[in-house]
Amino acid sequence: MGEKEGVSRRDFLKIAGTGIVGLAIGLGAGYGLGKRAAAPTTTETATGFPGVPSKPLKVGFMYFMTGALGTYGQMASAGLELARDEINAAGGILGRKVEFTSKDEADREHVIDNLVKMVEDEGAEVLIGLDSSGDALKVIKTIEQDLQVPLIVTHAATPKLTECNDLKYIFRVSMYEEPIDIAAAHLAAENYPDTVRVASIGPDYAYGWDSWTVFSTKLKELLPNVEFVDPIYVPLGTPDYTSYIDSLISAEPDILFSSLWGGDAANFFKQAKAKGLLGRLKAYINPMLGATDTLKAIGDENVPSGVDVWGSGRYWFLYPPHDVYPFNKQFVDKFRAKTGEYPAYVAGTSYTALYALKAAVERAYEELGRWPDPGELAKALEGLAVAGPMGPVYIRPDDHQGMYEVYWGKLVKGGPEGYPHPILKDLRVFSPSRVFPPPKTTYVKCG
Amino acid sequence: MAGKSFMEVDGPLGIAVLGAVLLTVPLYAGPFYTRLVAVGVLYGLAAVGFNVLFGYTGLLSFGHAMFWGLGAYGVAIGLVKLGLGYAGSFALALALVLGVALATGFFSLRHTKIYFAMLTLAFAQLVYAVLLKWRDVSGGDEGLYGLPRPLGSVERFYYVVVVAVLVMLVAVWRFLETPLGLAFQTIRDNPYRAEVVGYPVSRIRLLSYVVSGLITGVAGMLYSPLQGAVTPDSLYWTFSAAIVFMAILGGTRVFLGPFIGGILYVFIANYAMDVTEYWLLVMGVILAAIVYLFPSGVVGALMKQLRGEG
Amino acid sequence: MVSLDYVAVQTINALFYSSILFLVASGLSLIYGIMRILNLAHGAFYMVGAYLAYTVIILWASGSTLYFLVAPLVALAALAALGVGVERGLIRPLYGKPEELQLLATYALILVFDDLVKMLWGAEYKSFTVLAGGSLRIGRFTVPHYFVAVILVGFAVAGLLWLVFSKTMLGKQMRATAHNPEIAAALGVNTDRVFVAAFALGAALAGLAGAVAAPILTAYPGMGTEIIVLSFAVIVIGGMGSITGSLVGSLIVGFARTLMAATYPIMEIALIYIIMAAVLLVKPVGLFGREERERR
Repeated sequence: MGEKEGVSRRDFLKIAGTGIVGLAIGLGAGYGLGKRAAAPTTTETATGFPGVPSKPLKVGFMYFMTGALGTYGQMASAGLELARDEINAAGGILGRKVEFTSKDEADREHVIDNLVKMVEDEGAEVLIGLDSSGDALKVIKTIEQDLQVPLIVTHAATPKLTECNDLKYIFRVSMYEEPIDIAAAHLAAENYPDTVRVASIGPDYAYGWDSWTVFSTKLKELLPNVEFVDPIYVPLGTPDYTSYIDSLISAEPDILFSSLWGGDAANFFKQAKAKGLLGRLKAYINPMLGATDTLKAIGDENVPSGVDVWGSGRYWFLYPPHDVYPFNKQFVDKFRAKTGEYPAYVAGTSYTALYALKAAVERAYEELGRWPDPGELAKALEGLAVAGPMGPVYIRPDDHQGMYEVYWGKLVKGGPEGYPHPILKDLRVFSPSRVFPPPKTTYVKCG
Repeated sequence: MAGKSFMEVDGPLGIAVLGAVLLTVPLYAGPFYTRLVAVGVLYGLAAVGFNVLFGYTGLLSFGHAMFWGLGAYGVAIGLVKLGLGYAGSFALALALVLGVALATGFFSLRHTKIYFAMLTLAFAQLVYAVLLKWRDVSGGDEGLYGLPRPLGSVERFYYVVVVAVLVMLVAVWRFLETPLGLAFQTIRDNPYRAEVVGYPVSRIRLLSYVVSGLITGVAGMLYSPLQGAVTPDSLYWTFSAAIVFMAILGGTRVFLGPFIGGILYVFIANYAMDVTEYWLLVMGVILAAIVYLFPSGVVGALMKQLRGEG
Repeated sequence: MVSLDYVAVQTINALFYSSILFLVASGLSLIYGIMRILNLAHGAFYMVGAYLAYTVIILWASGSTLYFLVAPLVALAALAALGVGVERGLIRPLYGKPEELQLLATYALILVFDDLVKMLWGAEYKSFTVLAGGSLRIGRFTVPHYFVAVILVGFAVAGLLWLVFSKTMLGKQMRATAHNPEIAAALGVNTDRVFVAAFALGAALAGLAGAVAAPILTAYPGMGTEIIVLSFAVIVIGGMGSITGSLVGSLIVGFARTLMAATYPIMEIALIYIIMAAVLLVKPVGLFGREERERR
């Protein structure tokens, strides 16, 4: 390459090269600018409610919509859509129609980015959702410091979220795991007082570790002589449990505690039955079994005999009983009319979340006489009581945690009772005062 | 193509213009796109790091997510688990990247070409597996969260990111101009002759591997405070492949090619996710188009056009 | 506490896993050995095989033992055809091109296949026939017949591959091409044909692996990205291009993983790569590998 001609060509290419760079950046930024500029033009004219913008209220939600846990998201979004349709048919929230935007939580790399995108790019004013406890913890900083909009959690259940963090914008209307696990320990101690060995298999992240910590600590308090086999933790979405099942058989436990959930819970259950593990236990206890999609995946043909299988959840569609609490019956009927299925607990909690939002907005409006800003909206969610299919839910102001009754029920075939999948019967109900630890306390280590 | 052609376009001038453009982004782009550009800039730096080893030294790493992830985790562990503060956490992360680079380089560089690529991939998976399971340190599957961000808001931290990345780019550029940096290209073009002429080929390759890893590691170190969290996905092998994708997308025979590739990658992915849930398919088709039609990358192809070679 | 029946049943679990790994890794190793192409999309072939098996059982043979014969054969044939198509259309233009382009082209295939599978079959996990088809009792434990069948398939394929390579003309041509394609071509071997045969055979083995694994391991988009890296470990341990190496490597990885899963799960995956590093230290070309030859 000749130096003489090289110099001038090099200069030219330098300019060309930087031009390309500028173009790339400019394109990106211009795209952003265009999107941004669009937002403020759709603003406010009166809606019959003074001080309320007329544009629809955009709510962003995020659940696992695909993959092994995808049924959760399908059910949860159906619950949200039902609530939205009812609210919009009745005139919206203070006249504002509710609209959704959503992202798939199964897109693991983009959980934070997608929440940011829904708020900052797509104009969501409130967020609802999150299945994974890990995700809920991971986004605390993003919500509380960057986005500063309310996030109503409807499923992720780690105590750390509400008990170890001082939250302004994050709330949880769904039951968290600690009361359910404490109730499980009571259940085990009362029904199987001569239990010697207890084993555990759970998912390898916050939810799995914490559930076992709470259950085992409480059970040890109640039955000091109990022994624990080293807990087994498996990655989410593990397809093959055979070698774990064989180690569990070899450990010869009386009770197996499992916090596996969704498709994982069903896969494990079917394999454990086929490999004869369930038949060797006194009891199998799973705090996530009371999900209709999981029960459907298990199927009546896999309900074992000779072992007590206990399940719980954030809400069970037959509790509170339909005759004493018609609200629940109405919800179940509407949900069935819409989807053809009995609602899983995530449908009940997501439905409740949207009504909690509505109640909070109205509560704030009464005081302020205008649409609340995000901070005021968050304030109005504190100490709110809202009716849900699971009964009245009270959002404790101290820790932003929803409180209601915990149930446990025994797995039986659903066919004979007229249901398309196994169900939980013989329900044991625990009042919040018995199983909820005081606010800001937990058996789990916060650090 | 001779070594000099690398430097035709994009020296300090290119970096300066780029810097001027990047520093104005928060003025008009809004918080979401500012964040997106920040991510793109860091992906870009990671790809530049990859290209020091690949484009300049001729060694194809398929495990660069390891350096990115170790940088990200090193800072997060320092900040969240050990309470070291920013300086201490960055030092920890640098030490971590350096140590792992030396150890894995020692093994991987026993081979070149595809075998080397596969070894880097496998070692990255080893680090992934260790961090995934060693949850007292790494937080396991849920990763580490609640990292404080210097200066607070994304818009302000953006300037930290851009200035740091620009400084890195200038430093890397200058390093590659030194005799040692030029030795990388000699080895790339003909390792046997380099050996005969008296270059300590193995040691220079190791040096290139370590420098490359450190650059990508620094990008990861800035990424975790930006996000406020870090998860094991950042180490999974598909992210290594994405780094190679970014570098080739921009063009590996141009110093700033991979950098632009990183920014383009982020914007293309964001756009593809907006229009379809099958965004990976879109990315696959674009990647195939690059491989079969524009193997010299977007910047490379544009330059060929400008030179009248296209 | 560790009883004989427990050891026996975990050994079977390990052999089952090794068998599936071998089917994937041997194809990957074969393609590399002959063509010097590292096919990242090999895991995608495995996934497609699993989904085809799922479709076969849903369409025709729900729950019957017929499934166990038909589904793997369908996957084997379909993936052989797909292999021919991919080699002709996508790989052939890249011969002699830089390896990063070959790698990225096969990586692009992964992205495309993952989403195509989502489009065609949906994104949820396909779990079917859980441990159907009877079982053995070993002490306190139950082992499905299906596990034993898959183990036998693995060993049968290993035997067949050995026969093909040592006894048939195609096998000899493949070995010659693997050794040096220019000399093989000069001796009258149609190397184009050998390449396409090798690629198709490798793809077919991956499809077979997916089909036999699916009833136990379930089918899901992205299942290929996990098995492919373990297969790399297998062939690095065993030696690239060696069928014996793939077999031994699969057994080492399968047993290491099961041992750790049963005793110390924290090391379940890490141990595999530690073994790999140790092998590299002692014998850089792998246990059964030959000295690496630079081509190009």
